[in-house]
Amino acid sequence: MLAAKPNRTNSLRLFEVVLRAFEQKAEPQVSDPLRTHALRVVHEALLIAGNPALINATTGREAIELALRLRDLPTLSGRLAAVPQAAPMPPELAQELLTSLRPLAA
Amino acid sequence: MLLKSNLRLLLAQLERLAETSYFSPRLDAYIDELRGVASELISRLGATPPSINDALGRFLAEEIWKLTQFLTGSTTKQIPYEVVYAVERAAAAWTNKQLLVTTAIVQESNFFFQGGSEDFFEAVKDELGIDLVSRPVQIALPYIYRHKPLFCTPLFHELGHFVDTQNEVVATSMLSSPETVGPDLPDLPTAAQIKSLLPEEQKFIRRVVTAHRREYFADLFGVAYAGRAAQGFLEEFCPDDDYTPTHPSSSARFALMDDFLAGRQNPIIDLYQVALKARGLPQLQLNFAGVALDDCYGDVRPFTPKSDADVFGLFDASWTFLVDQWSSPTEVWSKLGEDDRVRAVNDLTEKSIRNRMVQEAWGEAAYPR
Repeated sequence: MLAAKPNRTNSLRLFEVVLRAFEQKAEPQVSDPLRTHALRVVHEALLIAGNPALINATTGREAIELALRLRDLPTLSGRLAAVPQAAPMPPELAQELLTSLRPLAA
Repeated sequence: MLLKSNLRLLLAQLERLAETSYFSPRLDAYIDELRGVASELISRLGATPPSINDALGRFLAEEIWKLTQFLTGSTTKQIPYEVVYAVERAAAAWTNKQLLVTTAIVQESNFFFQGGSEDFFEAVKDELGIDLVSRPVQIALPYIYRHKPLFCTPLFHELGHFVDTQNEVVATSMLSSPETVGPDLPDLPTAAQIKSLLPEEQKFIRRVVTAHRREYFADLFGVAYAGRAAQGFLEEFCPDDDYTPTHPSSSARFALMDDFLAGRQNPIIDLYQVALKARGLPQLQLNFAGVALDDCYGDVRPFTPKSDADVFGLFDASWTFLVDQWSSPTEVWSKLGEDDRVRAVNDLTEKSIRNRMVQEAWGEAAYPR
């Protein structure tokens, strides 16, 4: 294989693309709906990671997947929780989250 | 350069596909929509400065490529319409999206049921303002099985994986009932033992538990539709595999399937029912009806299913009929060699499903909705 390909079953691929845009502050940025969507994923994930009984039919797939990953990252979860829902995600935090989402060698 | 070139090449391919007359007008309409997405993306990337984020553009282009590949596969005239019909019927109960099933016949010994990334559809809507209604999924099955419906039952297992990943059923179970809570899985350390492991060991075992839960779910899903045909095929395919990090042992898989078929309570099955309920999905249950084939198949005549449950039941009952006739052929079947018996039972199954398809088509023509 010429280059590593993203995992096709990874529910967080779009989320990671948006995080990369936050991290790199690249122009043009992603659209407002996508930015808002990514921030909503973070907040929903934090909510259900704390209380999985809140998962229901409308819970986003990305939020469930992210909640699962955040289980091992209590410090990062705390910092993410401190970002107000409407505020942009700081680039350093986006970078840290991206790094933590990288797949580990099996 | 390569990104824009790829998109132009894909657009050209989609245009060629649009010239092919498809069996389904819905597929034609979908190709038109996808061409619209590719054109819009090319235009955004070509603007000065580009009016779309580069990483997002790459993500979308990659998905368009994958979806084009799905469509290219269904131009073949070798589609096993009967098997596809049965799988489509099973899938319909698990999504409110309009599924467009396409088929790839592969030369390898592999089955899959793969959907487009839901992320792609969200991004196309949010970023490009194009709302794609249909969801293409691709079924792949081995070439040598294209007229052997009883050997295509792994497609129901693969549909189970699709339902799981589209709805994060197993991920939901891992959040509400993690590996340190249980239920304990065969072959693996108990929840209590996992709890006492080092954090890095726990992480590794979590990946194994997740993988095994995914396989068990898909196994139960397969049995829910194809009954003993799903289990029987697996028993022939991997009779005594040991467990691996990605798959449970064959014996553990068969034991769970046995419990489900017999209606026995099992905490692993309960785990999925809770997760499915939370996600607003139907419960796992046996969705096939018992169909009596001895009279029809005994005289080498196809059966006429009256419902979807009968169609699913054909797999279960035909498998049993085949196994019986393989080991102790009766009457006319005793005059056939082993290979002919396998071919004839598969033919009868295919024709029986087709009876339902024809009946349904007549019904729709007579009483259009």
